[in-house]
Amino acid sequence: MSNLNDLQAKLAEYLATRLAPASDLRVSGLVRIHGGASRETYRFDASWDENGETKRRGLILRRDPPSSLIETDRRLEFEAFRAFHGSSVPVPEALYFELDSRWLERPFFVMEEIAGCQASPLALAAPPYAEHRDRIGEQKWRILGAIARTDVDRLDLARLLERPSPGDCWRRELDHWEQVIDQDELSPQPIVRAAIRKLRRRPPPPARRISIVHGDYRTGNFLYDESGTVRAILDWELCHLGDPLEDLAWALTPLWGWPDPSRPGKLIERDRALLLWQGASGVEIDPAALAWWETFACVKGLAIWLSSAREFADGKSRESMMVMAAWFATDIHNRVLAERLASGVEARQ
Amino acid sequence: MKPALADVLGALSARVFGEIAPLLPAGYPQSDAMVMALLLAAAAEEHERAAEVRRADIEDLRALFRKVLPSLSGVAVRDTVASAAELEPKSLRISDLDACGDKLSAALIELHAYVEQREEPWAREIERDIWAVLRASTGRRAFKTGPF
Repeated sequence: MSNLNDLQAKLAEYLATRLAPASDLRVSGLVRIHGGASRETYRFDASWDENGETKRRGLILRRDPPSSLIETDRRLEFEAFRAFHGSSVPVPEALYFELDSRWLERPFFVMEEIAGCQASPLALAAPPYAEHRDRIGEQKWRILGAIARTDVDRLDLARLLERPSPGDCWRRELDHWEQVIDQDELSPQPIVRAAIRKLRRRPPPPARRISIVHGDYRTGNFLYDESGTVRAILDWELCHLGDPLEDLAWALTPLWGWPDPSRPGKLIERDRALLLWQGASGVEIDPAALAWWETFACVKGLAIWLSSAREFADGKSRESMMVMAAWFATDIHNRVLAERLASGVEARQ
Repeated sequence: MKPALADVLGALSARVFGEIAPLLPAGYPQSDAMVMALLLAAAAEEHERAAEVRRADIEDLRALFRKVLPSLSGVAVRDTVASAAELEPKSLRISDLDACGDKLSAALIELHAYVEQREEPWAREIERDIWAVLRASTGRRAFKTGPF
């Protein structure tokens, strides 16, 4: 499938089977958009005739790429959208999930488009969004708290996920991401290796609750509109069950607000973010545990960036985003981690 | 006199960003071109400093290894550190500097893991020296160009 016209035609064939008995299905305006590095993302319009009426809907196609920055279970993201749709955690409506490669060569799913929104962290610095930064920030941390507070036993999604014991959350995550680094590093990594040793020497206390962990919750992975309303939380492909502090620490990591660590994700101040999250989640924050997870967040970030470097170097992907992650994000996370760990050593002197 | 590569890459970056990207369809093609422009600018920065940064890392690590050798008598990591202290890059090509730096980094990981397990004051001093070297390395590798 060499171009957008072919893809659009095949997509129309597929949707015609899913929307039957609707007739005269048409797909138009298919364009690729940036939508995370783990799936190819396209927006398009679908229209069809139903009961003598023409209906139209903006939709999003998320298709597996030939290679991905993050190896993830494609069904998870689709099921996460279904699990939270209609709840206090805003997400798009998930519509169709397809594994059969005869349609679009690779697995994909289709979901509702949330139109008229921005996701870019850079857009927050300029009108019309800049005046709403505090409001967007407050929603961001409250919604993350709401995810942590969700009763996992009431979600079908949780049945797809391995449930760790509270004392094992940290080990499972650290084992996983260390293995990614083992497999993908192109050169020895003294800083992240020191971090991993330290995390193993001093593990955190057991999780106070087993929650849905989004896995990549940060500014850039949610949609906000011109009125300052957060409309949808996206990019759930890393979601799993675990310690809710893992999500909090990832969202706090200085990379997302670089170069200002006092405003994580370029929004509200860190202390206020923590208070809002604590109130919404009902989880009291243990500072030592949060510090462990913040160091871990840098390890996980570096694992992802080192993987992107590997994918590019091996020729599995030639996406420019892979290089951006490999160069800039690795650089910043190594600096953050070196400062964190060096200050810990000095404190021990 | 030829134009310096850093100047060429910088100029190409500015053209892609200011002239070519705006002509592309909005969405992925345009933002992808802007990312490429950013990468060209970073490549210009990296080209200018690449050898200096790597050479400084190599010198710092070799100096560290020479300094700590007297504290390591009778332990297995000593041989690794002693060999690494003598390493020289085969040439000033970036690939040769990287190959030498990788060997030194591997030796550093071994040394670091060893001293973390020791409680003596000399081990803390070495640990502090290791972090000084690593912080200096990350500092000199920081990009002035960047998306963040």
